[in-house]
Amino acid sequence: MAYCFNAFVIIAFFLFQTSIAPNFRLFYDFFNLMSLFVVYLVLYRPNQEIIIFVVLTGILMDSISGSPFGLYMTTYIWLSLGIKWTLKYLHKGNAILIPMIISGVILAENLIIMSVMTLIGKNIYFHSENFRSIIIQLLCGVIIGPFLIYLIKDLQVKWKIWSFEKIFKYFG
Amino acid sequence: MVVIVSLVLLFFFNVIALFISGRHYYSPQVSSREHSNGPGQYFIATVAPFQKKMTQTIQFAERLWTHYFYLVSVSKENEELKIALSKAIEKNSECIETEISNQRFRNFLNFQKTMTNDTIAAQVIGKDPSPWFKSIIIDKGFSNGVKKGLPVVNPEGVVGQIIEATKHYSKVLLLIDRNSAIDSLAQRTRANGIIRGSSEGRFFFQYVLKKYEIQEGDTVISSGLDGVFPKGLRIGKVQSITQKNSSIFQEVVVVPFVDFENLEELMIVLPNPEQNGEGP
Repeated sequence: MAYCFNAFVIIAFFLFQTSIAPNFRLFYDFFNLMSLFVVYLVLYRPNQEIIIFVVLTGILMDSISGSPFGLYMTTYIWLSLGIKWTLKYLHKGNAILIPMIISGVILAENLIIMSVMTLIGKNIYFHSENFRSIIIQLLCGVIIGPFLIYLIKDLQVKWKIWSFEKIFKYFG
Repeated sequence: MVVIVSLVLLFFFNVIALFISGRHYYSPQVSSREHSNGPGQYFIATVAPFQKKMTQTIQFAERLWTHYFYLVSVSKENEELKIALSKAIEKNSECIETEISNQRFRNFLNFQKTMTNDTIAAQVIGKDPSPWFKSIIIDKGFSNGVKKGLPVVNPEGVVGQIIEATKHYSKVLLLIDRNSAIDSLAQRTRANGIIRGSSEGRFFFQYVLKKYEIQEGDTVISSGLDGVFPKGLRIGKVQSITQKNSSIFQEVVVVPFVDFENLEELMIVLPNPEQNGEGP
């Protein structure tokens, strides 16, 4: 059931990012919601689920975006490892933790992409326009990101209760 | 006999009394008085307030009744008018959209006629989720004849190139992506160079020798030398030129003709059958 919920969240984020957000100028520099989903997975889900969905999310992003295949998958794997490692040293219940992790993830994701693209010979990635975009992404992420994470977490709990009720009802 | 005489007398007395009373009531002297002195005044004073209240109540009820029904009918009419208005607005919006689409499709068809190669019309169904890359997903795949590497255009100019084709869908790398490049010509001077995408939604016209006099507003077209894009497709207009002493090339910034933010319908240009035959 948790897998179904995760798949649903991925599809919802994916549809929002590819079909809804591009129609509104407001979302042109919006942060990548998939990286937010990775943060949610690492913070609240078991390891098995993290591995499966981080890889799936990465493959989906690589397939849909114009990036070289594997770029997003490796980025998300490194990000999830980084968050896991960070959580060893930080108190999980701290209110400032989630905005901090989100901003770190947005920054790291952009830096990894910029560095990889520079490494493969596209050194025009370090441009003032790109840094402006990163700052906007960071601001959006810090303000909206925590709410979205709590929303997913809350929905996941509700989904779990609802699905168990349905299952128990079905099997008497 | 006595009874008859009494009745006749009573009748005459009554007539005379009525005559006197009538003359008295309507005489100008009596009418000019401020108020009446007769016994009727007391009855009137007693009954009139009740009459007044009763009349007011009836009038109030009557007004309430009529206004209520009036309001009900107005409210109903208002609802109906609102529905009619929203339908009219919707219809109007549909008409405007149809008109715009019609114009777009006309341009599209006119452009298709000008193309010497065969084309496949496609619709944009999704855009790149990453802010770092500029690509779109279209609703045509290899089952429709789309192949990797085919150029994609629209009536405004060059849009990009197919970088991935699945059975029913394909991914197009837009020309504004930093990884895109197309061999191009300045239409007026025939200066050759390479158009490359940039992060700000503009192009860099690279490797243009200084000997060519490029001017702002010059049109840049595809040269056809890259073997991907047919020759003569519009790309953009020169926005600025910078010449540095240290370089043998000019730095030219080009504004695209295509509105990459609002792409809807596109055309995939198929290779000519003769070209296909000659290919490796």
